[in-house]
Amino acid sequence: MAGGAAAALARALIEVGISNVVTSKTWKTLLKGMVLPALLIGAWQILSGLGPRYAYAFVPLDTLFSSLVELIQSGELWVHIAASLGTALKSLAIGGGIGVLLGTAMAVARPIDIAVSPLYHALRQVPTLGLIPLIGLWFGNSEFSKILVVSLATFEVMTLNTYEGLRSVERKYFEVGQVLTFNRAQIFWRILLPVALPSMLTGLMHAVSFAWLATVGVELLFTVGPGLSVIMERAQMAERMDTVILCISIIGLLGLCMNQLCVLLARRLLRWRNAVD
Amino acid sequence: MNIRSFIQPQSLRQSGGAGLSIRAVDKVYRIEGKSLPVLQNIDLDVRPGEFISIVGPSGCGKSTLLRLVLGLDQDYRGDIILDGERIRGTSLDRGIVFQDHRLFPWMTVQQNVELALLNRKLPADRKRELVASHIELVNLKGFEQAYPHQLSGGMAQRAAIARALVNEPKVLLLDEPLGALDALTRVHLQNELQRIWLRHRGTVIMVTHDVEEAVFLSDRVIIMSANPGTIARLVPVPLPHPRDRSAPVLRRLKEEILSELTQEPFDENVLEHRDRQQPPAPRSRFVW
Repeated sequence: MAGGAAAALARALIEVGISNVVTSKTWKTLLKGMVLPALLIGAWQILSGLGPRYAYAFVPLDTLFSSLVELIQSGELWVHIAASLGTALKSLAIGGGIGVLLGTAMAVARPIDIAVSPLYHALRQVPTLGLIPLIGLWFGNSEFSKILVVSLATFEVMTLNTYEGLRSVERKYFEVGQVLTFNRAQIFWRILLPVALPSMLTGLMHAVSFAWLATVGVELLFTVGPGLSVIMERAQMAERMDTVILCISIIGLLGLCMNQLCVLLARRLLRWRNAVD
Repeated sequence: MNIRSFIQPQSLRQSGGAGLSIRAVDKVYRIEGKSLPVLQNIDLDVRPGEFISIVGPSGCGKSTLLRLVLGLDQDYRGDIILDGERIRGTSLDRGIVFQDHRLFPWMTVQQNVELALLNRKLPADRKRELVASHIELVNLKGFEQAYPHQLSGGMAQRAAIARALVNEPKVLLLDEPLGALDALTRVHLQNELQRIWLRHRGTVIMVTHDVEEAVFLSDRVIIMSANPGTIARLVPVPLPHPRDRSAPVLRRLKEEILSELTQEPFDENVLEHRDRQQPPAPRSRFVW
């Protein structure tokens, strides 16, 4: 009952907001993006009121809200969020960094390309999940294993996108560099890299998404240390459906935020493109 | 203060250009095991400060010749001598304006022009001055911060001309610079080219399909024939600059050159022009 009122209030606020506060285009876009989630939440709330069995699966909003408050107040939530984000970002830096370096090396020096390519493509076709038992056996149930697995996921996509980006430079720009007597370093930094940047940023977006997914997955399997999946699993054992749903929402929300940051970064760095945007 | 410094701002020195000699140049493309003679026995002397045009049918090797003079291609027999020195590789002494402007899309007009000065040892404010004066020279003042995709074809080509000229090269090469533009812009830019060239009076070699353009701008027109590419005839245009487009002499010369060009037997086996311009990439350890 209280949950239904809260949903109605929220919807009313949104309508008021639309008519009064909203003038700029970004706000309008943001709110349009929130319509579908709001509708889903509304439908959820309706389903949860249909009976006790429904209420088990579709936990009513007020229960979710009180569980959230409980989690925040116990101080646990931040520890776990920080741990998951930490793993993801650390692995992104390591795997992404190595990926960019290897991709660059392969694009720039043909001997390295010939030597490394077959092994790289073979490794790429093995799902990272399939390597988990091997890594578990070698390095045990540790923080290191978690970071290794997630780094592998990000490394693969960044290498490929960096490589393809650098190789996609058109001959004509390269010739301009030659005419202007550029040396190899200048050709790399001033021609190859800018041309590769769009591809690399796409790779970054994929890498962020893979890193986050892999983090959540790997935390379920290597259960050492805090993490959002740890809360989820504990809640699953205690049959706390509300906490599970909360965790899933938080994971989704954090993933969305990271994705949007990448999009903003790409938009800033790629202003010069005449893209259909 | 004499009259010359009044007409010409200090930043645009009258370079006067340099003399170019092309001696007995032969070039052969090897495609699929067969050798294709592209240029044969090219002998040409370009005087300092002269504007010459090269016209000829597709596939006669005129763009290839430009690439040899530029130093992009060093696989040929014969000598190309600039100012008494044999050329080897590219140099800031020789600039080029390509048919597709080839401005870097990720840089503004100003940054593109500035890029040409990257390997010049000049103080920063001198570079800024040169860039500004050349952007003004091509009438693009106010568009310094525009990106290439925001410019029209004519404007982008003008920016490319500024980029080629900012180094004050001894020889300026133009590879069908106005070929990608519509007819009206082409006429306008031909006038601009004449105006710009009269300012710095360097040596210019232009390759073009447009005989009228060649005759309007140049001191001499070189007619090349294809298969293999050789120089068929040298046609002087003995008219002072700046020229009037409607002068009867120009019309007569244009018709003379056109009739010479159209009398050439048209060989269907001549490779597509563009294919000729893409020699197989050299094998090297480094991709670039």
